[in-house]
Amino acid sequence: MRKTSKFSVYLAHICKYVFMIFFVCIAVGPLLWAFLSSFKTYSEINSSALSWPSSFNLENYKAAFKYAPIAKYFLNSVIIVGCSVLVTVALVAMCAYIISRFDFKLKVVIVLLISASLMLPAQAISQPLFAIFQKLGIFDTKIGLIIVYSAMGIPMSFFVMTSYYKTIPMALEESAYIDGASFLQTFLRIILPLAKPGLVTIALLQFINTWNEFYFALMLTSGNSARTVPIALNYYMGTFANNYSALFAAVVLTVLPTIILFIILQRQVMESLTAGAVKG
Amino acid sequence: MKRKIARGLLAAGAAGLLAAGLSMYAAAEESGKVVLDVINYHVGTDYAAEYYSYLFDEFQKTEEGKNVEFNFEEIPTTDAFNQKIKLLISSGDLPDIVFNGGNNITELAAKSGKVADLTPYFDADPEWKAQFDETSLEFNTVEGKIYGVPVSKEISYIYYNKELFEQAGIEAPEVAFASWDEFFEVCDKLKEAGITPVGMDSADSGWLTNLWMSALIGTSGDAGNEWMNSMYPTDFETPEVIAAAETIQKMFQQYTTPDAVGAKYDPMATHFFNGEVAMFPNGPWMIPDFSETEKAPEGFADKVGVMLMPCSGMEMVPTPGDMVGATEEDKIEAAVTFLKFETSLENQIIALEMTGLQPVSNGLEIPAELTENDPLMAEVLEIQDKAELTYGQNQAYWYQNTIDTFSTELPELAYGNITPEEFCAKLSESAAKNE
Repeated sequence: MRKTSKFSVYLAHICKYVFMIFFVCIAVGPLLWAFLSSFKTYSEINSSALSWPSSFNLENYKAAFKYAPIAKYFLNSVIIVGCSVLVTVALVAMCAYIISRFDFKLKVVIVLLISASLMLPAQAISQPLFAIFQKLGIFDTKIGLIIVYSAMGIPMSFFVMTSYYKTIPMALEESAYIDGASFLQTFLRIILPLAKPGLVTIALLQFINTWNEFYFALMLTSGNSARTVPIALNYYMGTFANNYSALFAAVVLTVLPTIILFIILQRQVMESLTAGAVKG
Repeated sequence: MKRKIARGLLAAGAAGLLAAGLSMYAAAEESGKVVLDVINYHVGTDYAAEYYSYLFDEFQKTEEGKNVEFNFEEIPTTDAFNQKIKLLISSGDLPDIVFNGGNNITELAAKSGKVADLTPYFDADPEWKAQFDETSLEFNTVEGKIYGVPVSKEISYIYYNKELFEQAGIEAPEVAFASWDEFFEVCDKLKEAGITPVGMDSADSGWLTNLWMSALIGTSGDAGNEWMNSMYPTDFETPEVIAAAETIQKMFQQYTTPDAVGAKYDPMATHFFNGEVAMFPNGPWMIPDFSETEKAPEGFADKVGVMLMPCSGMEMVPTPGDMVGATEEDKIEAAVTFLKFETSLENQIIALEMTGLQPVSNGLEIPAELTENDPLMAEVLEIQDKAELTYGQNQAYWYQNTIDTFSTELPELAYGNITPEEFCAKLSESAAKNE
C-alpha cells in the first residue's frame, strides 16, 4: 500500500516536471533559437534551422548596427510604447470603472462607440489620420504615435477592465462610503489596489500590441525621430538580399532589454497579478 | 501647476522639432537650391542600396545637380514602400521623385493625376528618348502619356552547376536545351546520379516556380507566348497554362528538393550555393552572391554556368519606371534631370557592375574590365542576345491578388490536392475579381 502511494507521488512529481519542462521549452525555445541563429552565417541559417553555429563571434551584431539605426529606433519604441501604456492604463482605469459601476444617460452610446472602434481596420483610418496629423503638426512625432497607440489600445483594455471591475464586490465600496471615504478616495485607495491584476493585464496587452505595431509606425512617420523597432527590422529584409544573421542579432538586441526588465520586475508583476486573490 | 508645466514642455518640444525640420528645409531653399523629397527603398540590405547612395552623391557633384538637395525618407523593403506610396497617392502627398516598387503603382499614380506627364520632356530630348526601346516606354505609358522612366530591364534564365553536370555525365548546351523534353531527360539523368535537378519554391509569391511556369507557357508556341506577354490576364484556363501547371506539379513531385513546397527563396538559393541542386532560375542580380563567401563556398562562382530556358526562351520585362510627383515647375525640372542622370549610359553600366541591374538601353558598349572582372556577367550579356523567345513573368504582368493565389495554391497543386485544371480555375477566379 505504502509502495503504491510512494510510486504515485514520484509519478506525480515526474509528470509535474515533464509538464513544466514542456512549457518552459515552448516559451524559451524560440528565444534560444533566435539567440543561437544570431551567431550563424547566412548559409548556416538557410541550410538547417536547428544546427549549432560554427562559431560564436559578434560579426552579426556589428552588421545589425551597420544596416539600421537600431539603437535610435529602440529608444523611440521604449518612449512611445511606455507612454502609450501609461496613457491607456490611466484612461481605461477611470473610464471602465465609471461604466461598470454607474448608470447614466448615453452610457449605452459610449459603450457602443468604443465597441465600434474595435471594428475599424487600420487601413481604413490611415489616410484621415495622415491628413489630420499633418494639419496638427504631429506627423512624424512620437506624440502622434502615442496618441494613435493609446486610442487603439483603449477599446480592448476597456472591455477587460469593465469585466474585471464587475468581479469586485460592491460591498467594499459601500463600506468605504459608510466609513466616510469620498468617491476619489474610494477609487484610489480601495478599488485601484484591488484592480491591480486587471491593470497589469491590460498594460501587458498594450505593451505587446504596440511594441510589434508596424503599419502606423510606417504611415505616420517619415524620419528617424519617431520610427520604432519593427521598421528597423525591415532594414535586413531587402529584395533578394535578406540578411537573416543580422536580423536575428537585431531581434536579440531589441528583445533582450525587455526580457531583462521583466525578470527584474517579475516579483512586482506576479504580486500585482495575484493581488486581491482570496484563498478559499 | 505641474500639469501646466508638463503641457507647456510637451508643446514646446513638438514645436521645437517642427521648427528644426522646417528651418533646415528653409535654409536649403533660401540658398537657392531646389529641395527634392525622395522616398528611397534601396536601403539596408537591399541589393542596390550602395548603388543608389552613390547615384545621389554623384548627381550633386554634376553641374545640373549642384543646386539640388535631397530630403530623404527611407522605407526598407518594397512591400512597405508600396503600402506607403498607395497612401500618399490617395492623399496627394507624393514625394518629388517617386521610385517604383512595382505592384501596379504606375497605373494607380497616373490615373490619380498626382504624377507628372513626362511625354513633353521625352519629346524635348530626342537623344534621351532614343535610349529606350518602344516596349519599355509602352510599359510606362498610361492612356497615351509616359509617366515612368524605365531604369533597367529584368531578365532571367537558368544558372547551372557545371560540377554537378559533369558528375552526371551531362554536357551543358551552349545556349539552351532545344526542347522541354530534352530538359527533362537531363533532369532524369541528374536524378539517376543522385542529384536534385531544379530549385523551386512556393512562399513569398513563389518566385522560382513563377519563373519556371512563365518559361513553360512563354515557350509553348505562339498562343502561349502571346499570353505570357499580355498584361493582367484573366483567363488562366487555356491549354498552354493548364499544361504548364501540370508540368509544375510534376517538377514539384519528381525533380526538386522535398522542402521546396512552402519554402521561401533564401533556403532554396542556399541549396544551389551548397551544390545540392543542379539548376536554378534567376536573374543577373544573383551573380554577386556567388562570390560572397557568407552565402556560397569559396570558388563557387567558377562552378556556375548560364543557359537560356529550353527552346531558347528568356524572361524579359521592362521595369516599371521612376516617376515625378513634384508639382512646381522647378522641382519637376530638377526631378527629370535626376532621372536623366540615373538613366545615363554611364550610370547604366555602373548599375550593371554594382548591382547586376540590366541596362535598359540596347547595344551598350560593355567595358573590357567588366568582362575580365566578372566573366559570368559578361556571359549573361552575351547569351541574352541569343534568346529566340522572350516573355513576361507573373510578378510583372499579373494582378497582385492573382500572384498571391498562385503562391497560396502552389502547395495544393504540388501535393496533388487539386488538379492543374482546378489550379488554373482558381487563378481565373482570383483575376476576375479585378474586373
